[in-house]
Amino acid sequence: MARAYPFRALRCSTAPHSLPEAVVLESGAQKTAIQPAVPGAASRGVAVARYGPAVSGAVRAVRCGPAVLAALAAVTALAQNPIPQPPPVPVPPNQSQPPVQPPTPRPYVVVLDPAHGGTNTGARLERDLLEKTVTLSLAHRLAAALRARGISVVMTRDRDVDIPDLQRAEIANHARADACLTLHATATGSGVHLFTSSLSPTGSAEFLPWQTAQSAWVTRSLRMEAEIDTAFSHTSIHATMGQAAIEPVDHLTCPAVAVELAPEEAAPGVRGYAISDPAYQKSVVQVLTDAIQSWRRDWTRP
Amino acid sequence: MTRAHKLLFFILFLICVGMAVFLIRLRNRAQDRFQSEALAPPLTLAEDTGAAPTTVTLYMPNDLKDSLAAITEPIALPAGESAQARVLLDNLFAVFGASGSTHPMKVEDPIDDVFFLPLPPAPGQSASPGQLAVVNLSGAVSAAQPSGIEPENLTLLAIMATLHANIPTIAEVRFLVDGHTQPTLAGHADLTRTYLASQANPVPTPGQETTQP
Repeated sequence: MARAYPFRALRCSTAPHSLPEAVVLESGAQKTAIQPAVPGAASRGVAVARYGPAVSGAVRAVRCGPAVLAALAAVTALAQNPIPQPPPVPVPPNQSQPPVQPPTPRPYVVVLDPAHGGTNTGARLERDLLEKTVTLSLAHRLAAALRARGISVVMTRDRDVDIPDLQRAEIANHARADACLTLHATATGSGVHLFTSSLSPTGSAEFLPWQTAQSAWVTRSLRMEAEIDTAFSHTSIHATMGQAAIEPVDHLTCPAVAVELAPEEAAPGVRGYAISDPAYQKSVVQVLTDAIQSWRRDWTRP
Repeated sequence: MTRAHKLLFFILFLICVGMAVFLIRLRNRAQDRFQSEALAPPLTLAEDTGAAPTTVTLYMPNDLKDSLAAITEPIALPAGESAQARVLLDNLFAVFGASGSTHPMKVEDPIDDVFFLPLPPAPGQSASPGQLAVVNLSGAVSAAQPSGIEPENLTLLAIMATLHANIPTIAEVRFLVDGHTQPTLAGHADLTRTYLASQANPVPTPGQETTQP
């Protein structure tokens, strides 16, 4: 439940060309001064950070130099040990209390990573069809379908731009996603190819090496891959599972699966599809949406 | 200048010219020998090596099934692991390019070199865990490789599985393209990392098809 804190603004007061005198927390007429945590730290400007009643809000507009360290320390201290508030006024028994708001659950977040983009066109799938176009189109369709089911979606790119793999991983990790799907397409093979990282699974740790961050999530990625494969097994679309070393999957700190769309090879009793076939893409999006829904129901983030 | 001086100068001049000619001839001879060794054609046929054909296992990818299938072929392998690895991979790419291939890819001279480096023993152990094979692919492989996670991954797995099956001392494999590290094979498969050869070769039984690991 969100806790109320008395201070609305945080300010470091300085004199020109001098050291910061204090970090001041103020709320209306009430002020509390906190000495800088960094003795002798130079400071420029006023400024600072505003935070909401829950203190968990992000610190913005920080321009106090090292003195801000003291401010941040103060915010942290407040979050852990809030300044005592005046005792609540007793409510008469005949006066009804306002209903207690239940905590808002953290939204379920899925990161979609349409591979390639901009000058990085990816594979040429058909004469005028590039992989970057298919992955973006597929991502938009999938995002719409997931949002319709109440799932928050973060896309690493939503237009035709080339985003470096490391930046894609940063976006996904920052979102603290419950599932990450990297979307690819190829003219080779048949159906949908599912890949997880080929890193060996390791236990989770507070700090993970960037290059092998996914190793702590490989087991969950394999479960999610199996979930998606099961969803495809209920359709006529052929799906295969494998492991591969591909960027940016190895850097992701979420259950991550690379989904590669290939043309569906016609076989006895199975209709063939081209990658550009809207009906094919719609079916794949439907299956992936169902699989993510199942994954959401069966496995939650620890 | 006396007559003796002139004679001495002339003799020394002749000696200098003779030494220069001798050095130039030595240099040309060394250069010819170096070029003849560097440009030697790959030893792919039994006639080249004089060795009897031996049965080797090649791993053939199947793009539609996303799997590797072990096939056996009689191939005359030359002496030396580096030459053997090169012959094995030349033959593997020849199978890729054959008609009716399940992983169609036509490349001439796909392998520039295969180098071997001993891996250092693990801490507390004296025995080396094996060798690192550095496969220097020609740029033609990158150009001919169909782009996609699956086809690129299958190509790498087939190379590693074939090497590991026939030269079991190979524990790890790295890939170069034209002598340089390249980010990916054709846009997807990571070429900056060192691969464990054993991971690519789960069931090295000829005639049996295995899904990729």
